[in-house]
Amino acid sequence: MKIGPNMRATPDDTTGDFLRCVWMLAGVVDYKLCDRGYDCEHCPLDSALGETGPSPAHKGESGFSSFGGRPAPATAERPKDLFDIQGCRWVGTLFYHPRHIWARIEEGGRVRMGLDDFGQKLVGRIYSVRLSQPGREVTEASGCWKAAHRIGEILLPAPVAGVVEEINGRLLQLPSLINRDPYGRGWAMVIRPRNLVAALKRLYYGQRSERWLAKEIEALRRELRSVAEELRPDVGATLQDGGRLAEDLTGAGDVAKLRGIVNRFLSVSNGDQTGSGEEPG
Amino acid sequence: MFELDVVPVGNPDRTVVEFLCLSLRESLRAKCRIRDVPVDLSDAYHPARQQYNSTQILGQLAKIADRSDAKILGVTGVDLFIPILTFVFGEAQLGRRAALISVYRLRQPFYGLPEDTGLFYERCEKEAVHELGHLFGLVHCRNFECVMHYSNSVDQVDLKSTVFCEECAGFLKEQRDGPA
Repeated sequence: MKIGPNMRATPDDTTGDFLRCVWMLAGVVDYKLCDRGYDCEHCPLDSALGETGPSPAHKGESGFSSFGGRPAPATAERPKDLFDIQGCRWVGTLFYHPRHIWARIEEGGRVRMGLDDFGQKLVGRIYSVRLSQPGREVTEASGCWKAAHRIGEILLPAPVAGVVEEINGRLLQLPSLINRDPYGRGWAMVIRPRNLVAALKRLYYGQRSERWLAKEIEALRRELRSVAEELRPDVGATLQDGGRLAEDLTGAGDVAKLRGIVNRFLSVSNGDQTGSGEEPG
Repeated sequence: MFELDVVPVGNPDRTVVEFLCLSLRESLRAKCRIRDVPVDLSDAYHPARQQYNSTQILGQLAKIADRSDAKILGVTGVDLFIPILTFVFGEAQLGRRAALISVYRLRQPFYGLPEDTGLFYERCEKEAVHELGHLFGLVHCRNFECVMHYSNSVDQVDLKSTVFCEECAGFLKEQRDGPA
């Protein structure tokens, strides 16, 4: 049995040559074996249950309880103020860290966060996610969660400094939720900020975030174009009219160069410099 | 006046090709002719996307362009893409000789609307002029009414005009006629 890259197969998860469905482990369905190597993203059962049912990680007594997931509160719902900027979904009421981490202020000043649509498009399908444990101190200047994608792994920061209060256990089981629903079910962690007001001043918001995102998209397109041009030296530099950013950009050229682009735009090791060169704050 | 060969790629609507030959003669002072040369689309087809790789076709047109002094504008009826974009209306070599446009997404019925031939031809002309502008070294223009403005979608194509803004027109004149 081949194990899908987005899942962990432990001896407890297997039955003979088959894997136990995550929904079976969660106790949502009585008996279901997985014959697709935990490729949950393409599983019709997962799609059906994912839309309406509880998360397997949230069933408490499952083999996944060690992931630390707790039921997602109602505030994790899909945003209503969603706009399209050149093919990237952008939510006008969210704050954005320069490394493409969105932040939503919730009751009590807590900050829910996740990777924005630009970020998930850039890395493509996400195969696994590692999150900081609740109680851990995080900062906006250092990495505290990781996402493995088709061409590598990216270390991502928190949008604000503070303490992790909650993590999305379901995301650990279904990392591609970031691809499917980056501003909703793909949330990563909830942070209790040390100093919310000071932290928010360092983030993009409103029209400024819209302008910043447009610049980031333009900068990304320039970079991807130059990578693509190297594949066709006979054609050389070209310009196009039409279209929006494709869903998965990782097939656009040389892997090492694409990895460099991903790091420039998303990696916390890139300091304060944004992909488009614009300074936050 | 510059020489422009309009090349049908993959059997597009011939009347569009003829229309472009006439309109570009007037709008860009191009000495146009229709040139039928074989262009193989099979390698450019991407089954998963059900679209054709624009840059791959452009590569073939560039080779054809190398064999003559004329610039080349390919006109196709198939849906084009490049890997990083969902689709393209057209693509051109910057400052070189070969350009390509697709009329696939320019017809109103593609968007579930009744046919509007006048609007369709206008969009075709805009895309052709836009791509030919790139051949003369023009990049995308911030002026949303300029034909060199970038269009994500067909409604943005409709917003821009068929002509160059003053700045782009000046650049184009300099490229074609030399500095004043």
